Amino acid sequence: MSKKDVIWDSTTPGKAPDSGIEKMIKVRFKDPQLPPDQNIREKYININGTVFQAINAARDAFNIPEVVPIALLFKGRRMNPSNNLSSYGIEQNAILMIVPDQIKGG
Amino acid sequence: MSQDLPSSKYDRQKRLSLWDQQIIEDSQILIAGVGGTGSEVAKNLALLGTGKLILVDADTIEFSNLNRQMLFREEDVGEKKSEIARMRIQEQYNPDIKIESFPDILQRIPQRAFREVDIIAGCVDNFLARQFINAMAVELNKPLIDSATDGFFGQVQYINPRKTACLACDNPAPPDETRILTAPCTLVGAPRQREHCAWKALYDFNTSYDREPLETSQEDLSILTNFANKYAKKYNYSNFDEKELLQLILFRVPSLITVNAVTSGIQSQEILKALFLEKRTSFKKNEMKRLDFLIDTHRFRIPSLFIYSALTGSINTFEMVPDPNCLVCGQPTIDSQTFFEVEVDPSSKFKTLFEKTQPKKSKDTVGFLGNKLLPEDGIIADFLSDGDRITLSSLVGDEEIRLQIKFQK
Repeated sequence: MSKKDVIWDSTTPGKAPDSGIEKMIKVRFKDPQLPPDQNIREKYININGTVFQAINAARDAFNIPEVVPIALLFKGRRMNPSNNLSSYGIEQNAILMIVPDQIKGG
Repeated sequence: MSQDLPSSKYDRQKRLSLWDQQIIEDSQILIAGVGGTGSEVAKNLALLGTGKLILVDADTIEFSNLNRQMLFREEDVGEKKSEIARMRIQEQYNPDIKIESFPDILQRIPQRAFREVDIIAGCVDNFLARQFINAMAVELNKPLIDSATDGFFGQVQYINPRKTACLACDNPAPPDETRILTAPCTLVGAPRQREHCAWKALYDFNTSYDREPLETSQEDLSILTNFANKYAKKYNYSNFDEKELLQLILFRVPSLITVNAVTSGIQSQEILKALFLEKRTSFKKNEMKRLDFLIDTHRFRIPSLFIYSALTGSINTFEMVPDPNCLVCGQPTIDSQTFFEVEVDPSSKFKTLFEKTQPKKSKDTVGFLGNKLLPEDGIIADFLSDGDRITLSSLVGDEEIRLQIKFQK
């Protein structure tokens, strides 16, 4: 992830004043649909970036194409793509669960 | 031969160690949507011996439903799903079951239909209807077991209002079509994306013919395609074909009966468990003890989210935590929107009601039914019906309380 990926939006609530500074932490993406010995991939993400950026990192880690809608769960909360990652209190080595998103048929 | 038959058709399920058939027979369940998953859930619940089902679906049966919606036959095409489902279930699966059907959209059915049931089963096919059922379940504090499918994937979510996450927690992003639908500028302005041409074509179709295009009508599809390609040409996008338009505009998500059957099987089972939890105290003492033991040792639980993938054969479960700031189930919203039931004498005046509910501030209180002012000296029965919901507002502050009126018998 490069510097230009960091989005600064002063109107987003909960953003720390220094959130324009890139701060990389290691997280573990877990895709529970894969066999247990293959379902975790580690990746560095910018904690001051958005959930949307983390979703893209998850796609990258597991080669999930953009046309497949996915969401991330952290400690039982579905993460809103437009929120700042720091608002979820994610720490080093946190597990972010990948789930299919927008399943809507009936 | 008949002497060898068990005394009850529910004999096999009654043999389960944790079972009370009476609880099931006394239960009422609302099934919102009687399509791919809804018709399976209705069939399962009817075979289990559920006392009453309320079926809600405004849709009519389409030819393309027949690959998976086993309650419908070819001769039913064009008929209302909820009506045919009611008839077929009583005819084929359980003649003793009571079924009420509403061939209407969820927002228009009487609220008592939601209020009188024990559990709500969400089997709808769109985001907005799902959010509506969710709001009703939270408001009425009824467990909701919602399901959805898309191609090889299925999911079931258990919403126990204010205890588990609801469907609005953490602001789920609406699907693309909902976002486009709610952006009127897309319809009037220049199409910013190629897909917008399809939306403008649908808008043109609606305004020209005053109806929705029919999926089964070749003529309608040709007209739509022409409208869309007119915009595509004007704004330098590539042309559409009819199949692409059908997917873009009519949102026909791919559906498989196998995925529907697994998903609705999970949903039906969780409905049953939610019912047992709701009616826990109705179990016989020993059974209740056994249930409590299983709950305490986590051997009886309802995960809040199931995700089934037919591609990997996996069913994963997750525990979803409520969002404290949720606009539907968050505490500030609950505090400001919960209706409190109040029993009143219908022949009394509103003044009595104000004094009863706002003892210290009754003189500074006004009541509204919708936006209609309720006169202090008016007789309640002249203005309200049993079950109506009113708002009491303070004339001196911002406080409001919401009441659901129950007439004294």
